[in-house]
Amino acid sequence: MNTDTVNLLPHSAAERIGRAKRWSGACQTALALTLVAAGAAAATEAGRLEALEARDASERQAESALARDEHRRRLEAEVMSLATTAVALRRSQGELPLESMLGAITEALPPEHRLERVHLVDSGQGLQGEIVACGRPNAATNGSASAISSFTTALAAMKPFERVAAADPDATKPDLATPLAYLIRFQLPSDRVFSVVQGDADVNAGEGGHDE
Amino acid sequence: MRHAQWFASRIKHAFGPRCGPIGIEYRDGFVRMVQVVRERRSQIVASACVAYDQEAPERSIEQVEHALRGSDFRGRECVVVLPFDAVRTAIMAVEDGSDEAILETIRGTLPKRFGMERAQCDFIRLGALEHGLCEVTAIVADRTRVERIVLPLIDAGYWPSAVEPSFAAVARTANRTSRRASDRARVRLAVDLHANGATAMLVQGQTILHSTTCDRRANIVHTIFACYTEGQELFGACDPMDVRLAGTNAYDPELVEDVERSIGVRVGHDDEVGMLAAAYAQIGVHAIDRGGAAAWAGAIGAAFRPQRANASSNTERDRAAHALPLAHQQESDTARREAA
Repeated sequence: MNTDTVNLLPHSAAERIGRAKRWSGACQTALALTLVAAGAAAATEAGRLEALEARDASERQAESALARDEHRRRLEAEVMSLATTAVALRRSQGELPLESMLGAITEALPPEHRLERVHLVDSGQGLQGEIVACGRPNAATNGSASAISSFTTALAAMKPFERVAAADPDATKPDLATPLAYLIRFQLPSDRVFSVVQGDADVNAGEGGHDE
Repeated sequence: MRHAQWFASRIKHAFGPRCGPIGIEYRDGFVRMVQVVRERRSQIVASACVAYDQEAPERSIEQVEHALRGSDFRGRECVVVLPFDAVRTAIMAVEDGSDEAILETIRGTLPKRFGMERAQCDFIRLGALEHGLCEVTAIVADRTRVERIVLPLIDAGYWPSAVEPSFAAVARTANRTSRRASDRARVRLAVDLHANGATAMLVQGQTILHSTTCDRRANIVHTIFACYTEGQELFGACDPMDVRLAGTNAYDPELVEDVERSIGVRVGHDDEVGMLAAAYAQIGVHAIDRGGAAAWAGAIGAAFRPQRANASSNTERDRAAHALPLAHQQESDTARREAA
């Protein structure tokens, strides 16, 4: 026994300290186990998240590949459709009697009137046309009818023009002496082969002339 | 809240230097607390000093607890140094037997002599004598008073690993530089001074050869002289190289002069390397502390106490003693005396 071993700590106090140390040790062990469990759970969760991210990345890659394939197929289909349309349009324009139609229009056009434009539009239910011309309604005509009415009547009598009418009824008055631009609408028969598949076909008349 | 503080302390302790126990010394109306780094013992981790009023121990314990939590102390382990008047000592020449036999002898005689019903006993072996005898310093403390100091600390969450008398802590401080083999032959006189008494120890190396105690301030010089002369008589030529005074009165010039005049040995307060002064420089002057570096010798000695797994050395013996009925103990004491 020496100064380093002398101890007057009572037995009851030593027991209390022992209990406190055991309790503290148990708490530390529990805390350590909790931390280890939490770490393991976090590691597992991190692994799971990593696997999910890898799966998502592969899925995104696959979806991207699918989207690229789909886009390529759509482009190819559009190219094919455009090619088909171009062929059909060529065929339609080839079958459309544009020259004869223009000839009839210029033939029926009143004298001193000028043909501005002939416009064909595919409305889906048939081929509609618009004639834009310019001239005086009271130009020399037969009797009391105006020049525009005579033009409309002459067109309606010819084929393939149907439902020919002036867009502005006032333009048909015979007493107007000032030149004006007027619009005449007509339709082409829907049971005929001349139909425009896509877009419209414009027929522009040259300045002062009666060209296509 | 206490668990949170404990957890914060553990975290702080885990990342800081390894520290020794908190030395808590009750001395002359003050409680001094100090903690040192385990590897570098001259480095102070934290220190505190509060007043201790024996008339209101609960209030004082609160202040101690507040000081322990308010300072930068680390961990829960502590070593408590009892007040001087809570411990009674006696020099006994006993048969050089086992520790258990010596302790049984002390338990059978000293508590009755000192009038203690609940006594906590231990002893320190001093020098060996002739005829198979050895000298021991028997230490007896009032268990009720010890519990009054220790149990509130345990309730506050601290773990006193040891409770020791102040002279043991002072001897540990005085012996710190005597661990080497070349220093083990050195003899010095270490004196633990208190306001109402003193313990003088003739120390050789790490061993206390002889000690004397007085419980009157007027007898301090006589006690030191008695320790010196009795040591000379018992152990032959072992002149002390110096006298180390520890305690609040250590710097009393009259006392120093009287001691030097009585035994003719130089009086000092610190070791060769100035460890106490260096430690006190780190401790600093606390507001209510007026003892200087020597007053902290006991607290520092308690903080130097080596920690062992079975630091409560007499706990097992106490358990065994408590397990025996008192009548059986008395019978065994009687039988042993008759055999002797």
